[in-house]
Amino acid sequence: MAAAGPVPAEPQPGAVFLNFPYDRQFVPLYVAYITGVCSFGLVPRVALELPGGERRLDRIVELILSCRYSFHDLRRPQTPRMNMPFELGLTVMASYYNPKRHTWCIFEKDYRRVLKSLGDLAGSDVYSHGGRPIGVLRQIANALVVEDRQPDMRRLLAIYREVKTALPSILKNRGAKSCYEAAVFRDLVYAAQKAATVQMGIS
Amino acid sequence: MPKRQPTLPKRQPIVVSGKFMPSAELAQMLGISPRRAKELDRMMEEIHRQEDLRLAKKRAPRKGQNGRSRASAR
Repeated sequence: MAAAGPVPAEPQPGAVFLNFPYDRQFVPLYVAYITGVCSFGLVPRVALELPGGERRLDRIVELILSCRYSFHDLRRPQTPRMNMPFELGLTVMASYYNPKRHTWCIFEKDYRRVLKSLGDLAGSDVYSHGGRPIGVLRQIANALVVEDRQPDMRRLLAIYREVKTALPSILKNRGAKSCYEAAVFRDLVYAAQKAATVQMGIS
Repeated sequence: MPKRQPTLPKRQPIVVSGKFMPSAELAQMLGISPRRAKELDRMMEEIHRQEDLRLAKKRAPRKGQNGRSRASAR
């Protein structure tokens, strides 16, 4: 098989590829991931930003390679889908060949579930969030360390609440039926960064 | 016998700068128009103001059965 598209020269230092199920039940955690990542000055990226079509897989690989970090939540969606473990596999491979370009983290409701569903990951750390937004925020705060100011849980929760409050207006404005639409995701990222900067007194 | 290495390396906390991208730059990167960015800015500022008010009310002493001031309660 021929090599796919060009490999980006350098990954974007603040970009985090998020890999999780696009599931209705997952919405609170989806908002928590966006909030948590944005609160640390990072920018989340997701595959749903990408258009469909023949080159979709190439674009996903390019997106992963363009991100310095990736967070994978392997929570099983209601409708079985293989995209998440597949994208995790792509990421692990990218990191394996160039560990300085990419760092990945696994998040799950319960670390035992990962060992059960993906035994190949035995030996690697899993951030267990208990299936709750507060757990996701806590584990993101465990995974990330800020050089000068670490956002505390009180602030992270306040930012999360504000972004969650904004979600219905964003959906209405975009005429969206689902939170998992590219325009809604982009608005949420912008809103989360705004909420984070206001909460932390950064103008 | 040599100690068995883990299949994958143990994760260390990721150190990040914590610096936020300028709003205009973020909006451009996300493909959000300046007009929409302003709308979102206003909306988030209003939500933050409302949340501050809600928290201030929550922190304020409650009225009710014991709603009298301490002096008049005596």
